[in-house]
Parts: sequence; C-alpha cells; structure tokens
Amino acid sequence: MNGFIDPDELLARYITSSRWFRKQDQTVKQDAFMPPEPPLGTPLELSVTRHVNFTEDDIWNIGRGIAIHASRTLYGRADVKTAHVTAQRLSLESKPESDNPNHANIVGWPLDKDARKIRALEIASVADFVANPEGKI
Amino acid sequence: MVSIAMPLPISGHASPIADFVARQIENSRDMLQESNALGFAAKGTFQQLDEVFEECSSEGWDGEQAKPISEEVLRCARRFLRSFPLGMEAPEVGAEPDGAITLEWYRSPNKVISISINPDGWMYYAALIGTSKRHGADFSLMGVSDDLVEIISQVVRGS
Repeated sequence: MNGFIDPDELLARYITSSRWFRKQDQTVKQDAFMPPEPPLGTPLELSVTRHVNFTEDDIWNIGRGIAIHASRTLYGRADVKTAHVTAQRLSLESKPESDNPNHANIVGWPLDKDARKIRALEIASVADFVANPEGKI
Repeated sequence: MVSIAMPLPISGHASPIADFVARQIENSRDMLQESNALGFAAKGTFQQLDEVFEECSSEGWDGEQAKPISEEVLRCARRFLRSFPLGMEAPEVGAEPDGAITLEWYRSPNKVISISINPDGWMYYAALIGTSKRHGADFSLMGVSDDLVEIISQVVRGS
C-alpha cells in the first residue's frame, strides 16, 4: 500500500452472514476472513474498510450501504489491527471507491487453500466482533 | 469423548458377496449417523447443512462476490460427515465465499479447527491448538482420516 500505515490502524470487515460469528461469545469465525474466488487471472483479495479519519457513524453507514445494496442483513463488523494482517505475510492495498474512500483490499494470499485458512483463522482469533448498534441480531 | 470407529467403504470388491457386505456396512453407517442418538443427525448437523445450503445457494450471498454453494458440495459434506466415528461432538456448519461448506469445532479463539468442503471434492483444514498450528488438504470422498479425528479431539478435549 502507498504511504505509511500505522500498524495499530483498525480495519473493519463487515459481517453479512449470521454464520460468520459465534453468538455464544461474540467472536468471529475464519469464514469471515476468507477471500472469495476471483475471476481467472486476478489475485485473491479480501475487501475491508479502514477506520482512519472515519467516525463510528461513517463506518456503520458504509456497512449499511453494502448490506442494503446486496439485500443482506448487517450483523456487525470484525475489527482487526493492520499489524495482525501483516503478521500473516499479507498486505493491504488501498482501493478507494466512490462511496467508500477508505476501501482497501487484503492481498498476498497464498494459492493453497489450507495456507489461506490458517491465515484467516489467525486473523479471526484476534479480531473483535462489534455488533450492529441497530440490533439486527 | 467416546467414539466408535466405523469402517470406510471399500471399492473394487473381489466378489458380489463382498460388494454386498461392503454396501450393507456403508448403509448401516449412514443410518446410524442419520438416525442414532450418537450420530450427527440427532445433533442437528444435517439440518444445519440444509439451512446453510438454503442461505448460501445464490450468487453473492455474502453481499459481495461469493460463489453459491452447489448441490455437489452439499453431497460431499453429507458423505464426509457420515464417515465420522459415532459419538464425536457435532461441528457448527458455515460457508465460505468460494462456495465451500465449513465445519467448525470450537473451544476458544486459540482452540479451534475449521474444515472446508470444496466443490472439487477436496477438503482443507486449519487448526489452532494453543500455540501449535496444523493445516493440510485431503480428498473428502475418502472420509475423515484418523489424523484429522485426532486433531479434532485435541481441540474439543478439556477446556
């Protein structure tokens, strides 16, 4: 990614499936951090939103927009520090979008799926689940 | 945890009788997993599978570019689950954006195993057990391996 990223900077991954977090202890499953299969010839990437310069309202508004656009329920978000992503030998690529200037992708995923899973599992183990304050759970 | 090992199906039998016996064993195992109090059916696992399939069988089910879970993946997951020893703790069923079904055994964020059943018949697993990590791949149609059963047991054993 261009420019300095504070390792403490938080990244949000929106949770749009009830099966991506555990209701019993409000923790996040690795499923939420697995990248989708990309079109042929393009790299694996996982969409996240950087917290930097955003208020809590801004962060939730982006998530609501994503959920509404896809007719999904926004259950919450998984917050993780950039340092936990880079510790897994992954990197962050800033990809601002018209409706989300803080959009970024986690890139550098290995080709072997089990190697991706262990990285997603490690990231999920340190992520914090933040429930949607509108209470959609 | 008490678990009862069940034989896996054998292909290429020497005679029609051997083939019949193998089929009967396979059917018995399926019936036990589907109906016995020790099996995954009684614990709601097969019902969870159907629910996940229902929720995630359309393109973009995650609000982004997720692939739908196919009937083939559902069949592979059912078959894989039937191969487990009876008496095992039931997993929680989930889905990944690449169209895989996931089976998770969880005690804490650092004591967890996730298995993905993929459309190509392969399964991939990753586990955190305290400070140790395990991950690998296998062919799901071969059923669960003793090694994987041991890793799951390490996750669910104790607190």
